[in-house]
Amino acid sequence: MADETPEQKADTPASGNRPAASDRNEQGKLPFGAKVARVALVLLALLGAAVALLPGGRAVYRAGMLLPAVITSTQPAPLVASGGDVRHSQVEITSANGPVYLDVYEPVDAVPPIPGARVGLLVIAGVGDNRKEAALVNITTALARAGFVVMQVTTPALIDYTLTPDDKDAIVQATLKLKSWPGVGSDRVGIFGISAGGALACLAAADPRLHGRLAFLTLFGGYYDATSLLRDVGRRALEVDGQLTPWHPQDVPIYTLAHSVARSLPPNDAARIRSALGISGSALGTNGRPLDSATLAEMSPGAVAAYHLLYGDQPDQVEANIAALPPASHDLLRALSPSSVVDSLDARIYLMHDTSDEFVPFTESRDFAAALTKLGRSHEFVELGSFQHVEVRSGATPGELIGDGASLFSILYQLLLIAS
Amino acid sequence: MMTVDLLILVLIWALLGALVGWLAHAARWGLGAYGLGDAHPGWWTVGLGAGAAFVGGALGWVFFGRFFSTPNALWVSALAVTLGPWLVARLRRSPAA
Repeated sequence: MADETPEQKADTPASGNRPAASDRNEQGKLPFGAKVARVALVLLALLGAAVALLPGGRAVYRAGMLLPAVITSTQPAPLVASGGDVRHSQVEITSANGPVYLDVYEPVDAVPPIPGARVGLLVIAGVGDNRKEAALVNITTALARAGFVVMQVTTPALIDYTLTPDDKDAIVQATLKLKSWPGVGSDRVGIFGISAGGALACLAAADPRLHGRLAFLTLFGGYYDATSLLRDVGRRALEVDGQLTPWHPQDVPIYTLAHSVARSLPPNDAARIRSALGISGSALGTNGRPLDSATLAEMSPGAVAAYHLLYGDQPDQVEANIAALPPASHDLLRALSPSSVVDSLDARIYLMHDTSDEFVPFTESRDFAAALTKLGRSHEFVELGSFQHVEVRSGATPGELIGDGASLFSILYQLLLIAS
Repeated sequence: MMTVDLLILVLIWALLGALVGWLAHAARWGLGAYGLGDAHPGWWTVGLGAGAAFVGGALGWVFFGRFFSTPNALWVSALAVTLGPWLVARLRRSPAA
């Protein structure tokens, strides 16, 4: 490398030749290695320019850097080196239903002139206190490294595994807060609803204060209709392509529904439902003890119906038990259902659901996608195979990971195009 | 931590730029192709690539953000090692020079 080759010396101005023309003339005599080097150099230049200068290239680059973090639940070294440091802050705001807890993850660096504003992503991570959940912190940190301002939102009700339509205002207030967050483009804010958080995301997105003001709505492992979710829980089976398929839900959806439906029941019945089927309920688990007949006899017919639906001991009487629920429960289930507001959703919607989900049936997202198709709304739906609910399943095969990786890449690319 | 990450990033730019410079020399588009670079045109081209990558990375950071500084370093260094020597040779040949 140190010295010129005789061939190169012949091309120098000192030799009296015109180097560029000579070089062109001698291209046919170039060694194979030089030709390969030229092709490689041109490709590298084009690749770098496309990734740095074109919005589509920037989105592909971001998606490629983020995907390993999503699949492996780690912060890959290239992402850390490229993305830099992330600032985490906690903010509390107030909604009509009480306090709203916000955890904000954002890049430390200033907003670059191109594209000039960051994308804001409001994450509703379902029920329970997930603010320190390692997988969630990992993905929010990775997104912040890629230039997003990520705001996790939760409320006392969600932390208590309770879904209430009253929390819609909390999500609206959090979204408005994110829209006015320094560096965030007010037209570049979207919501990412995970699990039960998807329902609240839809309710908020349909609110007049956010109508037409969301860039996207991404829902992962959520339900479409609370009554049909309760039906699947009650019969311990899903209807897939017209066939009933056994389905055994985990405890989390049971005690979330128990806490939520209990609010629509008389206080005494609510307490019994919660103690039997709420978190750490006496009837849950392999050694759980069901309510005895004497206790059930003291409860209202609607509460007994709710109990059987949640406990799953009357799979053949699911429709009758749903019909026996009190009107307040029906109203609540309707108010908690994205199906009740689907007509008002105008943001582009991305639906993701794992087909082996034991928390929320994947058929819920199928129904959601079918409704959106029927309405002619812009959406995308992918069925995944390597997750358990919303986390990568241990033991997922490379084939499943590659297949899901391609689907996730496609959705990530579309979301990141907005950011680029 | 920030300083270490920053050093790693700059090192990545420099390595990419050096690779691009080496490719330019191997492709006979580097300084040697125009009689530039004294007795060691290959090393000068590698150095030019690394230096251009540093400038490209820094400019990319300023305009597109840190996340896109590396791809920016890549195309700027590729452009510098191919067009730079050609431009210098052309300027040297011009009557004004």
